[in-house]
Amino acid sequence: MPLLEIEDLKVYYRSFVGITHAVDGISFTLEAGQSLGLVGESGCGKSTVARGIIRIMDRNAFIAGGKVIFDGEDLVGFSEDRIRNIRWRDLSLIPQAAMDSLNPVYPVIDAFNEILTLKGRMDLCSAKRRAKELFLMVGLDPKRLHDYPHEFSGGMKQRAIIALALALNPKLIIADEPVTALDVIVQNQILTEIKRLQQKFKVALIMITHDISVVAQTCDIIAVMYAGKLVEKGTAVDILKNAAHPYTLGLENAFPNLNNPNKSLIAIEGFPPNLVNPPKGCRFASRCPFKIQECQQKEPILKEVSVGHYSACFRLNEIEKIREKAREEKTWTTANS
Amino acid sequence: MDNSQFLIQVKGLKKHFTISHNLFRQSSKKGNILKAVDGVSFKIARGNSLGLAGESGCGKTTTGKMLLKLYEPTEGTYFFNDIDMTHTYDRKVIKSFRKQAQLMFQNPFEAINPRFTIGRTLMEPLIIQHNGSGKEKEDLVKHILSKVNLQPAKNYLEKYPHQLSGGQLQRVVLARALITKPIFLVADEPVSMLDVSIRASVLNLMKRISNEMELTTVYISHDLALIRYMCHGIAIMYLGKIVEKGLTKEVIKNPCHPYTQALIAAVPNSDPEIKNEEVKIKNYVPSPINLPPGCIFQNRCPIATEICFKVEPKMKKINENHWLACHIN
Repeated sequence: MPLLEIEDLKVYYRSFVGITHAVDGISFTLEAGQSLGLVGESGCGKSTVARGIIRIMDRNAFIAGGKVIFDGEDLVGFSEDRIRNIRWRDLSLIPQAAMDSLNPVYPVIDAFNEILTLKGRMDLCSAKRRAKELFLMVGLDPKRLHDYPHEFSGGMKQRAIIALALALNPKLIIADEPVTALDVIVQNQILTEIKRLQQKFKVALIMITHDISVVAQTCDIIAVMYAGKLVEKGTAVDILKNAAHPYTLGLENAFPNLNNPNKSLIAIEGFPPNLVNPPKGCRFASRCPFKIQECQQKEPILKEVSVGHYSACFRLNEIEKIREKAREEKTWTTANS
Repeated sequence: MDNSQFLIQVKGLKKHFTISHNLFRQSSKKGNILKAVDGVSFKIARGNSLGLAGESGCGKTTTGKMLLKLYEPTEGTYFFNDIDMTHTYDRKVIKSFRKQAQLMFQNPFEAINPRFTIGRTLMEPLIIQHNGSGKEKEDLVKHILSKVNLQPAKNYLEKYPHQLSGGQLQRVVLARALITKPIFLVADEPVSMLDVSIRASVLNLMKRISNEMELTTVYISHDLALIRYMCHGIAIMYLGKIVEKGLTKEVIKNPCHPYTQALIAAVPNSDPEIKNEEVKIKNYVPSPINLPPGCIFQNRCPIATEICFKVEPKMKKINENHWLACHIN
C-alpha cells in the first residue's frame, strides 16, 4: 500500500471575483521512502497542493473535493484536532522562505523544545539531548543551539528548519522551495543533506520547486503542474529525457544549462490562464504551438506513455514528431502570432 | 594597446563602509570597517559584456553601483569612455554620464512608480534630460516600447504597472533604461524575480538589443548558467575581490581557482543520470569585517598551504584570456 495516495484533489480559493480553481483535480501516489518533485511555474498551484495535504491553508482556501489518503486514512475528513496530532509526528513541512520561519525573539532551541515536548511528549532534558543530536545530523554546531535566528546565516537557518522537520521521525516531509533563496554552494550542501537524510531514515519526500535541475538531482519521480492540473508525471529520466508533453518540453527549452551552452533559450510565449474562469479544454492550449481543435474543446486526461510515465495530451501518438519540432525556436515564436 | 577600445577601465577600486555600533553617531573612531569591495580591476571593451558572479554579500552589487557613480569609491580609479570619473564633480560631465550609463533593476514590481502610467514612466528620463519636443518624446516612447516587444505600443501607454505581468514590467524597466540611448548598461539580477518560462524571452531580448545598440553591459548574477549564456567575459568575486576572471567560455570550461571550481560543481545538473558531486569546500563565508591577512579564501580552501595564510595572492595571467589570483594553481 502506498504511503500517500492523492485522488482528484481540489483546493479552491474564495475571492472577490469568484472562486479560484487553484488546484483542480490532481492525483498521484507516493511509496514510503520515495521522493517526488512537483515542478511548475509560480501560480500553478504547487504550494497549494502542499498546504492542502498538510492542511495549513489560508483562511479563504477550502478543499473542494478529492481524497488525501495518508497511511490508510483520508486526511480530508479529519478534524482540526486530529490533523494537528499527526503534523510533525507523521508529516512535516519545510515551508517556503524557511529562513523567516524561526521566531526571531526566541533562541533556536526554543523551537526544538516546543515541538519535542508538546508533540513528542519528551521532558526538557531529553528534548535538549535530541536537539543536539539533530543539530549534529544536519551539520550544525550544537553549541549554537542557544543563539537567536539573526545570528545564523541563511544556510544555517535552513539547516535548522530541516532539523526541526526531522525532529520526530516523520514518514513524509514536504519541502516547499527549500533552496530557492540560497546561493549555489549552500544550495548544493542543503540538497546533499536532504538526500542523505532521506535515504538514511527512509522518509518520503515531496519537493516543490520551479527549478528542473534541482529535482533532477534529488527526486525519483517528477510531476509537472500547469494551471492547477498535472500535465505529466513519471520517473526523473522519463520526464527529463523523454518528455511527452509540450509544456514540459517548453520548460526544458527555457532553462539555461551550464553544460550545454550552445543551446539557445526559447521562452514559452503568453501567460497562464485565469483560474477563476479556467478555459474549457486543455489549459495549456492558448500557449501551445501544437494545439489542434480538440484541445480547446475537450479536456485531456493523463494517459500512459510507457510504464509509469503519464502525460495529458491529445497528440501522444505523434509525440516523437512533437519532440523533434519543440527543439526548434521558430515553433515557439510563431505559436501565438 | 589603444586605450580607447575599452569603455570601462577600473583599477584597484575599493569601497569601504564604516560600521559603528553607536546608533546616533555616523562614524565613531572605534567603528569597524567593512570592506565591501576591496581592490577590483577590470576592463570592458566597447560592445562587450561582463558577468559579475559570486555569492550574496561578495560585493557584486556594490561594484555595479560604483560603475554607475551611485557610490563614491574609497580608493582606486575608474575611467569611463576615457574620462576619469573617479572624482569628477563637474555637473556637465556627470549629467552626460547619467545619460550614457543606465541601470536595470532586479525587481520589476518595485522599480516602477505604481501611480505613473507606463507612458509617463518612460517619459520621465526624457523630461529630465530635456530631450526634444513633446511630439518627439512621445514618438521615442512608442519606438522604444515596440523595440522591447510591447506591441502595439499605444495599448501600453495608458496602462498602470499593476495591469502588467512580471515579464512585461521587466521589459518596461529595460525600455526605461534604454530610452536615453545609453552606451553602458548595468543589469542587476535582471531575471531572478521572473518566472522560468518567461526568463528566456527577457534574456533573448536583452541579448538582441545590446547587439543592435552596441551596448556595453555588466550583468550581476549568481547564476553561472545565465552568465554563460549572456556574457563574453566573467569575473568571479569573493568577499570583495576578484579571484578569477577571463573569457566566460575559458573560465567555465577550465576553472582554476578552488572557489570557481566549487561554484561550477555546485550548479545542479539537469540530467538525472549524472549526479552532482558534493562540493568540497566547507564552512561559511566569513564576515567581511576585519579579515585576517593572506588569501581571503583560506578558511574554506581544500588545498590551502602555509603561504596562503600569510601572503595575499596577486592576480596573474595564465593565458591570453584568463587571469587568476591563487598561490597554488
